[in-house]
Amino acid sequence: MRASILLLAAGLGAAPQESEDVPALLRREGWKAVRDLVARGETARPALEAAAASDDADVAFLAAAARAELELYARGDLRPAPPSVAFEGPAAEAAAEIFRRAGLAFEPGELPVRRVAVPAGLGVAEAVDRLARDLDTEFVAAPEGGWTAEGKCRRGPRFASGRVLASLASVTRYSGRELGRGVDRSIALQGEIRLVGRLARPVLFGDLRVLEVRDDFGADLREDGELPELGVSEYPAAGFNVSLRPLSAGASRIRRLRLRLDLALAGRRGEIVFPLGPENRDVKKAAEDLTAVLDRTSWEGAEYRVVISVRGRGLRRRMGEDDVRVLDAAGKAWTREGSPTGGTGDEEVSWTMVFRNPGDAGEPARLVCLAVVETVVHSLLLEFPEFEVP
Amino acid sequence: MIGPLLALGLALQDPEIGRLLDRLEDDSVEARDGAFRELAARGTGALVEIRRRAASAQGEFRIRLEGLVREIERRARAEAAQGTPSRVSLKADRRPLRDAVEEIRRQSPLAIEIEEAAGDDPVTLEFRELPVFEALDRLCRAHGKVVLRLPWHVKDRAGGRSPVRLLRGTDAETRRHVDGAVVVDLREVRRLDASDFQGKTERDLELVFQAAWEPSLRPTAVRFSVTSIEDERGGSPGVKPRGSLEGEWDRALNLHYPFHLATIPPPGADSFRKVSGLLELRFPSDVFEARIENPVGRSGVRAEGGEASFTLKSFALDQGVYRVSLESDGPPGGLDGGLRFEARDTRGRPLGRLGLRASGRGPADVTLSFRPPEGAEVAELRAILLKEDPPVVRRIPWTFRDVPVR
Repeated sequence: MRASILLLAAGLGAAPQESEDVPALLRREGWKAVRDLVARGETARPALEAAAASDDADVAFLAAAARAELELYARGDLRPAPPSVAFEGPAAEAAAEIFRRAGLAFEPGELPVRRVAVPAGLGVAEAVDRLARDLDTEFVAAPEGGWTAEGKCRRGPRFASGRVLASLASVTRYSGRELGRGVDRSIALQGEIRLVGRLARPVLFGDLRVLEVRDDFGADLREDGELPELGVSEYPAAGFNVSLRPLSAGASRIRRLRLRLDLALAGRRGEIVFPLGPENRDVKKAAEDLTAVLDRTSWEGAEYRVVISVRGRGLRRRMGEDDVRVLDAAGKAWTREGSPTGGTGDEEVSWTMVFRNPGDAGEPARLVCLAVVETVVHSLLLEFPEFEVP
Repeated sequence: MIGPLLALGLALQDPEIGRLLDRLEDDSVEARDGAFRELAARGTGALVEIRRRAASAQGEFRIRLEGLVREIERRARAEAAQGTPSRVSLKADRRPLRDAVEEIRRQSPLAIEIEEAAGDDPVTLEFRELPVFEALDRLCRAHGKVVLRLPWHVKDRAGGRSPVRLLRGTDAETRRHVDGAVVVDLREVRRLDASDFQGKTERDLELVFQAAWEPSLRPTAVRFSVTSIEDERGGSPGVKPRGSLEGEWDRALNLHYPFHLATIPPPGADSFRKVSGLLELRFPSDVFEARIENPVGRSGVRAEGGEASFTLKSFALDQGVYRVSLESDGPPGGLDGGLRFEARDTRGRPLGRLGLRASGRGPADVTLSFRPPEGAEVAELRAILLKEDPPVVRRIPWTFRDVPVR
């Protein structure tokens, strides 16, 4: 062991020494090293950048996890939380202090009335996970934005590091024999990822990627094709379903499961503008990853009817019906009559809207759609301990 | 004209009909009933002679003959309601499978597709006048490397009839029971082992069955059940039967039933020795239909069809919606014995369900309205009355042996 590593013990906030071997540290200390390196802040970034490019997959993964957490803080999307301080006392006080450090309110809910001991130096998610196991309860996001205790601690494989808590709820081995046509085998995992913290910007959508999954014989179980099914609507908890290839012959466990959750947050809002003429039909405009189509406009008496569709992921959180406006040449808005008809999906809206001159506006000159046109993606990296497949 | 003349000739030449009609005047009740049954079983071929005799008969004998005519006509209607399976023939001597399938398809209303890769395979077999599913069954067995796959849904995405498919596979591994125009197929054996990490593992074994019948068969209800399962050791893994599926009149149906077993096979058991069950198709005992061709714009037109008869008062298009007013002889209603109305297009396809407003029992004023599909032309208004008094039930027991479950 290199002596310089010992600097870590007192090194919070300090830059890694020139002689410090960050890859070796990550290899040896794993997620503890991630926590310590993140605690040093931006000063650790150059070493992490280098380590993330390592040929050693474990080192590269852990370095990328640390770098991603730093990125959350650096871009101001999450405030860094100080590590836990040693505490011994009522569970409600311990939990309230842990969540307070993460900038979150806490309601005891179903928290058992007991005394607990919390060691110093734990990250937020680790401290929450420690309390959950000790008290046999689960901490979940409450509707008002705070957190609370609810139900029993989930006994499946768990992950806790930085601001990420995750657990697996079930593993299913599936075999379907279509008579005359062969057998289809797969493994399905269900779980949940929770972010302990309040993001500065709304989450628009998320993508879960399986970075690595291997059975106890080392076989790669990743499936080709589509991303796993993921629901981020209940943010800060994201439920997921992952389908995997079957275990290799004789294997009975999943030895390694590494995931990356890419969360797309709302970035800049912008305008998509359609100049309006006497005939407007099938006019397409794009802004970043959004595509808008002005299908047509028409007059029905004094009513100006607009049919517009917009495509883009997480659309419900990116624009509302009030964000579509008809303006005259001087920028005076026409009044929208009633609610639009059509469909509103998370990846496409298609609206028919009726506008009426408020009395003092000129002819329609522009149709403006206001929307979140830019997304900011943050990645959360996590891995689960080895577990058995039934 | 050739058909009726031939029937007349045959009836006149059949001395047995004459003898049976004589027995209808016998003093013995048993003899009279026996003759009635035998004559009724001879069907419409005996009608000419029965009517001829009835024309000169008197009193009770005449009443008996008229009753016999009604019974034969009722049976003929019921047979028509149950549908007539197509009959297909094939003679293939190393013909490409694609050609053989095409020839079967031409002779049947069934939509059939074949996997492209198997189309050039040669096949040799010959059969005559087989129901289409039996023909396809023979074809798969003769070829050996294609399997018959029934569709999951009656209609495809475009609204057409979903095809049955011949796909690459090993036919010897399939478990299929064909009974004339009806087929039962054990499509899949699914097994789930799920752990919730709480120390509990749920194990589930699911047998997925499909059943289908030719479009010409029109059951009003279908019931499918698994009655017994024997594992390799002769034990029963238990069955949790599901409910029946009620079909819709005049629609070709197919269905699939997942059966969850109460227990999984014991360790070491790789197959079920025997899986048995029953498919029941229910048909009406009698059907009356009355129709008016090109009804749009017509009024005061009478449609005769026994108990389904009605008089059209108006049939007009109003802002894209057809509005129909009529007076029915019988009470309107749904499948359960009541009168039902359909509009059909030029190809005989129903134009959706008709909205129905009616009042009272017996003769009733009926108002219908419906919005036709774009471009559809109304060629016919039809009233249908189904009777199940009692229903005709066709029972098809089936058994599959050596079903692999691992």
